[in-house]
Amino acid sequence: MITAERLKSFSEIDGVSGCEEQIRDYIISDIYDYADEIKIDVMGNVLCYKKGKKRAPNKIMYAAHMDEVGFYINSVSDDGLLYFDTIGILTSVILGKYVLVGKDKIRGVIGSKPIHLLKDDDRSSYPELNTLYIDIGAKNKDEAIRHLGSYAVFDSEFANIGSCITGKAFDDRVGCMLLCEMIKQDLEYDSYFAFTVGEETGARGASAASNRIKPDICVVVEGTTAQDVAGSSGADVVCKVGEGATVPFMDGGTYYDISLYNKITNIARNNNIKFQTKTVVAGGTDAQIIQRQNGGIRVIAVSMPCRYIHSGQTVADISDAIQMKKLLDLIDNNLDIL
Amino acid sequence: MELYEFICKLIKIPTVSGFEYMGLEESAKLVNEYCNCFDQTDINPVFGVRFTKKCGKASAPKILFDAHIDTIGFVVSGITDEGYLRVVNCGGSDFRLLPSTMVSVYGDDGIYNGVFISVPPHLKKESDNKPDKKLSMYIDVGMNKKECQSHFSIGNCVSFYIKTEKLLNDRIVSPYLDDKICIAALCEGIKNIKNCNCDIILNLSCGEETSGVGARSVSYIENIHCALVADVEFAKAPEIADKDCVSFDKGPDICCSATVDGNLTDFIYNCAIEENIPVQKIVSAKSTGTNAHEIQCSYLATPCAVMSVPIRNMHTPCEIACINDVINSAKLVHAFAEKAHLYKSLSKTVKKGNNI
Repeated sequence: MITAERLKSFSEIDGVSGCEEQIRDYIISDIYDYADEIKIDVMGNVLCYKKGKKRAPNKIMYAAHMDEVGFYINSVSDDGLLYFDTIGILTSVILGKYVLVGKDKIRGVIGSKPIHLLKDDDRSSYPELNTLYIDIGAKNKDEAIRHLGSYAVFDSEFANIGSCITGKAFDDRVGCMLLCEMIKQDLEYDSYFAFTVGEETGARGASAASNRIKPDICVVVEGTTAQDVAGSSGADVVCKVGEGATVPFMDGGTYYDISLYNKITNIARNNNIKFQTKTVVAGGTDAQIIQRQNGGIRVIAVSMPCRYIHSGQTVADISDAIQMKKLLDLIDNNLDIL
Repeated sequence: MELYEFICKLIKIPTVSGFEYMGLEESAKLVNEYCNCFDQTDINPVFGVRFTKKCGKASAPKILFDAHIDTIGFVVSGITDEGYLRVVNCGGSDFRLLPSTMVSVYGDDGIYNGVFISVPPHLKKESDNKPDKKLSMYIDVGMNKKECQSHFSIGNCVSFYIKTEKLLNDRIVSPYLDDKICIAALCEGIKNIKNCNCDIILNLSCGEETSGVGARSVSYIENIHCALVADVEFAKAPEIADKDCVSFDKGPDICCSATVDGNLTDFIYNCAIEENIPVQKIVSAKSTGTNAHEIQCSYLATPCAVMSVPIRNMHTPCEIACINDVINSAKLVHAFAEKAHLYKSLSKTVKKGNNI
């Protein structure tokens, strides 16, 4: 079932790049009774095989990344403040935000100099990242030092917002959710699934996953940037929330396989699936690495449009995920013509 | 009701500056439920909420405790064709921290979630890291224009999404500790007063973050013997110079300034010392930046002092205070109330006449 509640359960689990164990365990427990084979490789990728009704004419792999953007604590001050570096996050979206540190989910906040004390120069730029810190309420270094090296995630609200939803890590827990749903149903063709690690640090898990499985075709299921916001118009919008599954022909890392793009968009059109493409070449997915493995793999992406991606409060429409699932089911049913 | 629960409930009541009327009745009810000691409650959309506790003694002097009930927020100034709410600041908030911040929008027919828009890294050039104030002031409510127009109007107010939590060492983090944490300290201090020779007025004033209208109205209360204004102060943080802040866990601070009553300031500070209540001092020479600035010199003037609860990240969604500092502030309020009748102001008749 593709529901907001189900996406919530995936998105609220911690899994910053390099620390994907909790989301990995959750996915494995979700699909254990349905997958025919499950392996974890040395990178931590979860690789699955699901037998279909028919032997596949093309070996297909569906891929989604488990990791999310987040923080790493890289230093602890004598006052007990946690200094950090970011994975995939701009300074513009971290000031004044709540976070949870480590497996124990210690609550902290990333504060900001009070406006009353800002000079004119301060207001025209963001603070340097190395001056920002997470305050967990520790009084001194002794109370906080155990968090050195820990990760931290946004402590976000999952909520309804008009006809949309908001929360963290829709990129790419929506992909993980959709892959799990596929594994739980009867498939037309034998299929492989890769839940990868490290996409937010340069698609670091994708190589091992695709070289292990060696697919002919890979469908990357992702969350992608939608910029249909105030002040954006025309092509700058990229894609729109509520306008269906996004199938890009190109992004910042990949020229997608044009024959796959044409065939899949035709399938969508002929079956009244709401879909769109991206009007700005931006962003990237695991496909940029997968495409180049094993002598070349044909790749395509099916993505959910997400506003404010890589922040603590992404906004999306669950109806887009429903359209994505319908398209993925059609890809499975039509593998013989791809 | 425990103090922490009281603080959480108080913060949840919306009182954005200029829109305090939305929360005055509910705030008055909550304070009366928590304190259960006031003889009279008056509510007015200009001055705020005023509670009176009589000591029962004839010709008792009046002492006033003031904290502001209004908070910073935003006001809807337009609805875009794409269905976004354009807002302006109501009180001072730093636009740099708005992107991807969750808010509550008080629409025509209910309260709605919203998120300030932001630009993701995929669409930003590396050199383009300057905050854009104009782009920062739009809220996504997940609706199209028509839906927006059916739920929202120009003039609706917006507050930060209320999330009140505890950190380590009994620290509390929340939006709107400024100044609701001081309201809590005053209530905690007043509610258990037994031996008082003064009538007590607790004033929760409107408009401190914007117009100062509530403070000015306080000055028109007749015959106030002295007043203690409670507002928050900057707590120590790496980005703040030592002279501009005070420490956590060392009690409230008393503000020394040319714009408050020096004798009253010393009197209150000495109350703390005599009762072994941790207390600090801070100096704000030209202005305390609080209601005391108005109350001290408006109308016929009122001797004023300022007591503050230290907080970090003032005017952000994640202000931090120590519960211990709130409790010590309450102790000081209690101690001062019991001794306030001994305070002697400068006012006296040096030579009798009929003209003044």
